[in-house]
Amino acid sequence: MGAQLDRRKFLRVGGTTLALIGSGSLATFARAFSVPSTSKRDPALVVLFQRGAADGLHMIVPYRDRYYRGLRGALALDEPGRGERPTLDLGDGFALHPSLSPLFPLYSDGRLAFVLNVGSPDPTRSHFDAQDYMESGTPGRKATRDGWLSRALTAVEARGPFAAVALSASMPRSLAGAETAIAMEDFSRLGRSRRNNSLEGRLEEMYRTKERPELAAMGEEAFEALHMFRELDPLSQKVPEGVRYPMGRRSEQFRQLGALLKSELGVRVAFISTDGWDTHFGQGAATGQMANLLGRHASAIAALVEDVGTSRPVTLLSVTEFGRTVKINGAGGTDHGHGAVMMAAGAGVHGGRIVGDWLGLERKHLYQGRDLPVTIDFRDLFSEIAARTLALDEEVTLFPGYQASPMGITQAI
Amino acid sequence: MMRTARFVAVLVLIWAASVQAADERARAALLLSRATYGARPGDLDAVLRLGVDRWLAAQLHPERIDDRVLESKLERFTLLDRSTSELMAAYPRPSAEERLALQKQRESMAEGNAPPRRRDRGEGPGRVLMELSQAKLLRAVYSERQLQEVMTDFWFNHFNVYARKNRNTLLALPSYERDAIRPHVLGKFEDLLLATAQHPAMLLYLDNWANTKEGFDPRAMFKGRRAGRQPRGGQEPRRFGINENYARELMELHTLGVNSGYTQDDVVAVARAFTGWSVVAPRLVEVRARMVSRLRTRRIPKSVTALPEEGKFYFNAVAHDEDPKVILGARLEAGGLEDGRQVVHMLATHPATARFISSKIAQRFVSDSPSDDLVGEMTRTFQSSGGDIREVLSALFRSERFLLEGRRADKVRTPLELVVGSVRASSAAVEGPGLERALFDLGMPLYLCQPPTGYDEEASTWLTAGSVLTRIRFAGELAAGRIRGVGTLVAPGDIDQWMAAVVPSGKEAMTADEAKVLEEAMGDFTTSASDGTKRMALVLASPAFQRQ
Repeated sequence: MGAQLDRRKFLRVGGTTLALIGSGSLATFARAFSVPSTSKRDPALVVLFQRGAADGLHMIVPYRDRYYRGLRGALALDEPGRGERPTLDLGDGFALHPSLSPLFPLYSDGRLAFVLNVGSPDPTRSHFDAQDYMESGTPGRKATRDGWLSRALTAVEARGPFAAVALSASMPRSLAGAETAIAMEDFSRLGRSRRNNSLEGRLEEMYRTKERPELAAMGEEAFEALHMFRELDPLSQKVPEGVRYPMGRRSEQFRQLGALLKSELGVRVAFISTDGWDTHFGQGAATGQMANLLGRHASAIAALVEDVGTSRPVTLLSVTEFGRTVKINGAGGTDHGHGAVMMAAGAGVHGGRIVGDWLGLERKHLYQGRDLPVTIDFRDLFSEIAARTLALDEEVTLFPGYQASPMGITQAI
Repeated sequence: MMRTARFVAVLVLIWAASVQAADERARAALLLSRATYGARPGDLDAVLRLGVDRWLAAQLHPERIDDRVLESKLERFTLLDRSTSELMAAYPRPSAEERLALQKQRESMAEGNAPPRRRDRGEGPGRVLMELSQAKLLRAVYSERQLQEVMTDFWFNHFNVYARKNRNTLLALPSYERDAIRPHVLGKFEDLLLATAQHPAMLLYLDNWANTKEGFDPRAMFKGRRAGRQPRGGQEPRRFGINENYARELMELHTLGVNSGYTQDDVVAVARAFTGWSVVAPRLVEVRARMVSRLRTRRIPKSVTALPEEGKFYFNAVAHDEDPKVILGARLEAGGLEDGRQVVHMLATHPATARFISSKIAQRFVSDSPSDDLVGEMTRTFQSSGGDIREVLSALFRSERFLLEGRRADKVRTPLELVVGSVRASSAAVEGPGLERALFDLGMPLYLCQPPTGYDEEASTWLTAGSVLTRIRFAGELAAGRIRGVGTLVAPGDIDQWMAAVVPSGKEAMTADEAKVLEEAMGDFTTSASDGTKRMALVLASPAFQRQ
């Protein structure tokens, strides 16, 4: 028992010691010994997972490609400026899906970048495997226990019960194994449980008993979280005038996330996911099923960025497990593909551009003659964004067995 | 002199007897907290009355235990005894329109709208998962064959399959647990391994159904087709090849354990041995029908007509890689279906497997880090008994080290153990679905562990800041009668007595501080009925109850 406490303490204190020996920098020293270790001004990394494999060609439209219309059929969108819901010109022959127009100002201001032909070297077309690989950060390897974000969290030495938050009932795979992470479907539950107060007080005493060191450390964290949350009461913060989150349960989670980020809870890493991107049937074009999904996604992101505003730097990374087939299928949708389109926005992102090599839709350039290829390993993108946002040391390995190469998508925050 | 000596001898005997009684009591308490889903009030006395060894012998031979109470509760389920092909027929793949409607509905729910009312929703395959989960909870709470239920959970978790991998995996799941896992939970490991290897649920989950020799073209099965014809759409014909998923997990998670000396070459060789181990999916039957109708020839190839009924294992000989393989230094030349069977035998009897399985069992029942000595004892039993699981468990529970290490260990209840243990301790009646939600909130939804690793056993996974708050909340809701599907609690007449009966190892498991706070806290409440359940909540939420 004692040994376990020591291990836990050692990980925290010992990690600091190692860092000090390793770098000897004053900044590390300051970071290690200031309490709380995170300040409101520290940039936060928010990962949005579009579960189900979002169709990248429905986000940024290569309207000038000569194969585009033929392959996409009923899914094809018009060139910018035409039709009732026109696409918006992104330059270089690409246009933004009209439903993503809430993101257009971010793009124009150079705060949002699209990443093209990004994905995993593993060829799996299984959602389950691909999500697992992406979240563990180890393509092709299923037995990895921890998630890539929990490794980032360890590296940044973020402390406090809210260092990482996930808007989900159970800890997402990306944060598996994280020591200082809290996952809740609905954070308002923390603030509401005032009933049974005498019970709670007694339980706190029990959990903080010093004779059970490991339990005490964890109990301390739990009740610290509870008290901190109630004291700061982050969810009562007003959303600024003019900022509007879309309606619905998921969007309420975005609103809660915005509130957590604006608060003094010390959030460094956040994870949120959206479903419904597996559009095999009736995907639609400028309007329809996927247009609705994109609209909500974009409005939520735009609202989040506006809401958090200048209160702290936040970097968003919107990812998906793989892309979809280029060609429309027999059911007006698209099937599981390979290369995807992802988005990075906010602090430190060198945006206003589409990153990645566009090879065109000619069959010989498609992966297995059907999908966008993967020319950018997702780990290059993830690792550059995380390293910049969380100011990680160069030698930190977020992706075991992989040497990530920077792709130049970030700039100083 | 003589008299004194006799007196001393009697004293020694009395002392020895009391030590033995205390030992018996400790063993009974530990067995109840580890080999069952937690003690109910009265269990400890019952085990002592029967005698610990006799109780254990019965648990190791569950067929001798009367389980009618549970059996009558399981009668309400209608899907769990059906075959996979029956379930596939009952829940056919939805048509394109139905799928579109479903997608719209999901979309509407994603927007926060309420799901359609039950009677409008129709019956989806989700009902299979609902019945599976309910039955699992009822068995865990009510079965008198507790060790069998714990082991069923242990092996399912060891050979984990994720219910939502896809529709067919879900439909194959009742059969997987019933036919592949359950019959062997106390039997021979090799039988269990082979049963899982050949079960459609596993073949689908770890993709072995699509594991074929390199460059295999499924159209080879339909020899009547004109060769070289391009399919419509200009896409390249989909060719199959080696899929290593199952082979890797088979060695890493099911048998040898990680870093036990096998190489990537072994993974590929094992994958090749399992090429052609597949499943007759409804889709395949559809495709077959379509292709047969298009065939120009009257003679339908045997590879097509010989397909067994859908939802069953089948060995697709034309997809099997017949070249010889070298696995862990041994040459495999059997060929055909025998290749995979020999690999199963080779792995089941490998010394690394004996050790890996023993250590995993010890971790489940004894501590997060069992001693090498204990694991060694079990490993030897595993090997000498030909992988007999009942023998290994028997050796474990009868070992002195079980009591020694087990009592010392700080073992934390997993969410399943906590939720079921709380219900058992408080004698609450499970009347319908509801506890599944608590398990979801605690991060351990039933049948929904995505990775093939299964759920973890270690304390560090389950006791986190967020989970402690959720655990406390669960205890409060259970005591207040706010968990759907669970009856209201009745406060025990004597709370101390109740506590001694249901807290693992009783009060001695508590630290002095903990016991003091609990004692004081009890004083906060009156003896009224409503305060009585609050006292129960306090105990169920206490650190002592989180331990096993």
